[in-house]
Amino acid sequence: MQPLRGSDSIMWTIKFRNGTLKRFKFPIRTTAEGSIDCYGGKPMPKMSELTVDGVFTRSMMGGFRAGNPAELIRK
Amino acid sequence: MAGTFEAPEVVYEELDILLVGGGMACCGTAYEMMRWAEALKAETGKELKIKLVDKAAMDRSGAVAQGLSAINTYIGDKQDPADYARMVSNDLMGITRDDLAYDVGRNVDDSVHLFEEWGLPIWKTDAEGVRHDGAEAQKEGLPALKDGGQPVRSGKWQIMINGESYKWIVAEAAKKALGLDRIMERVFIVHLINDKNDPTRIAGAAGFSVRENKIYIYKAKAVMLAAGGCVNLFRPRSVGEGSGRAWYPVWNAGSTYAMAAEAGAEMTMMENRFVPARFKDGYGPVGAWFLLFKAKAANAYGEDYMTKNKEMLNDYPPYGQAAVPASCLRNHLMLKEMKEGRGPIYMDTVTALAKLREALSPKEVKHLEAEAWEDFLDMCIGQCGIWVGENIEPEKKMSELMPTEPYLLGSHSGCCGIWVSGPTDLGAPTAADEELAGVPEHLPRGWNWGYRSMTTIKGLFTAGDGVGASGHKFSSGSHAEGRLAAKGMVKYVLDNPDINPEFDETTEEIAEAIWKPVRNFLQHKDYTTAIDVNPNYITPKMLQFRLQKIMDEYVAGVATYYNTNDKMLEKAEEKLEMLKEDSQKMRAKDLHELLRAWENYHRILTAEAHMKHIQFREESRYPGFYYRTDKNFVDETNWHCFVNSIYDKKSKQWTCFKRKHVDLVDKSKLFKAAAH
Repeated sequence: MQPLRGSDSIMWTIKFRNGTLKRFKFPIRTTAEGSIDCYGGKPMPKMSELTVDGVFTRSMMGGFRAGNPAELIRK
Repeated sequence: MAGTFEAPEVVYEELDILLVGGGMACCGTAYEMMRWAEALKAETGKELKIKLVDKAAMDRSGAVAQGLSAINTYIGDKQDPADYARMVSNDLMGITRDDLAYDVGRNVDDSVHLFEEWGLPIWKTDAEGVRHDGAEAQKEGLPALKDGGQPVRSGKWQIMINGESYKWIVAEAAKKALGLDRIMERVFIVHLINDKNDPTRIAGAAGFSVRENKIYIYKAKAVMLAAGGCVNLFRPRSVGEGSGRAWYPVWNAGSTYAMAAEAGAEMTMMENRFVPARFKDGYGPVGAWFLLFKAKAANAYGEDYMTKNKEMLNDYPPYGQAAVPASCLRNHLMLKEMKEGRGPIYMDTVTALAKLREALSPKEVKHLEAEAWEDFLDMCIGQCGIWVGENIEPEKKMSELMPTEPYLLGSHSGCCGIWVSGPTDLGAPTAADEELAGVPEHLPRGWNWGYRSMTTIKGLFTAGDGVGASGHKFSSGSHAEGRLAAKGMVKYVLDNPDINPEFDETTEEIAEAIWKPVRNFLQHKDYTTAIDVNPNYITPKMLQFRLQKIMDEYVAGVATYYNTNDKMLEKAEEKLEMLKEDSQKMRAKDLHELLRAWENYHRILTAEAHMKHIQFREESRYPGFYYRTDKNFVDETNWHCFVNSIYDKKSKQWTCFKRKHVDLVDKSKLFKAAAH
């Protein structure tokens, strides 16, 4: 098995015991290596919000799932 | 002064916050923490001294090192965090912390959305229901998940990715957040240090470079301990011929559990283990085959054992009546076939792919074949080696399945780990609620004691595999959990500005303890002419074999088909005590062996915790993962509770006790009416 890892994809050549050859190419990332701007466009939290539930990107990443309060049976 | 093997240099540093580990959990911690640290500096001018120390290199450290072909925890906009908490509970036979699972569930998608933004290719389904791989989806203009893009679900909670570089991408963001000056790679933290004036407070941590003759001692107000689960404490199925091959990463040596226990942190559910049923010998993943390709597993005679043996599920009400039986129960049904001589067990890849081909175009069939191979090539290249070496083309030849040796972990389908403080807004028990008798006086009551993810040792936090009683976090959940802990850590440091930890040991004592295996070697190496044969020391490798033999033969390893009993546990207890004594005689002839020596010491303590918890819990809570043949039943009356423990580093003794289990979400929704 032989990998060839490039900047945006990896190519594999695999050879079976019986000689069968297969080649695959899979994407590995959609951005240039080293290009991540980790806080770019992200809010600067206020220290007064440190105890608010959720992470600092909660308001803009669309990932907070508030849940149905009725599911919490001890509240 | 540069250190030598005989006289290592001791480097001392004072910090506010130390992060131990570089996997998904610590990357999440770093990402969230540094933003709050920036906010703090902007608002007050105060700068926190933060450092991350990793045994390896962040780009490829942790369980996601090789890559993944799916993100196993993504809630999406159609499911409720309560559904997630229910699933976690069901798969772990009812004993989990709903507060912790729910909290991960409501926050995990935020991390997944970030991963996509950072460049992780996530498969999408378009309006016509056609699947696109992650890069193609972006070229086609399909929206990102955060903008309503539809992932390709391989199961209720899983989404497909092109994840060879998953860890690389997540690490890049964490490294950018930290800045390289705050990262120390190739340093193995092996020991936590308590506070001299308050033994229930953390004061720092110590370890050594695996590249240079240097010992590192850090004083810190808060420590994140997230160094993975435990592998190779049991004799693996792959021994001489494939030594080192394992399902979970071999560098996860129980360091998280052992160091936390020695520091006095309360452990939870250390009896829990995971025995994954995987493609035999290569440990290749089966999730995509079961969930995406809809393959069935069968015994050697073609019988679907999940159907054939389904009545066995009725022995374990209510868990056997769940729509999706727990992972251990699926193993339980498979093991019956193996024990009664109807192995090997196969994954019927041939029928599954033939069925899929009926409905697909030739182009789609080609893509499907690539998907099947990518599943391995992204995350378990060794399985490809087995397939090509044995001429297995999945459309033509079925592949063997096998339950592996046991693993201890808290983020995958297991829930052992450390007892931590949870969120306060979900109805979790408080200090005012009733607790079971036997909980040591000095430990907190209720499920929150001030700071999210803090252990019962003040200032010591954990995430990912470290957090017990809340499995099924996987990669994304571990990252999210690290982020939640980061906020708790910053708050702890800000709330306690006057803490000035003092070590309960001198730096000389710490350095000597760390270097002891080297001293053993240097002192005795000339006693014999063969370096590995010496009555005065034991090589780490031999000691590891001894540990693995004890665990395999007495503590329900593969040798006994996962069976143990009270008498076997007594023997194990005695032998582990002696092994712990002998661990002080391990030798290190070089830095690599020093790494191995300390990893094995951590494994012994983890193994001991596992054994003690199984011994204390007088039932078989996880049939298919382990059986106590003297108590071969699930006892809901007496054992529907957490088993927790503490370790006394002075007396070297464990104390196990029960903690009351409470449901925060309704579990009855999981179960069909009982069959009997």
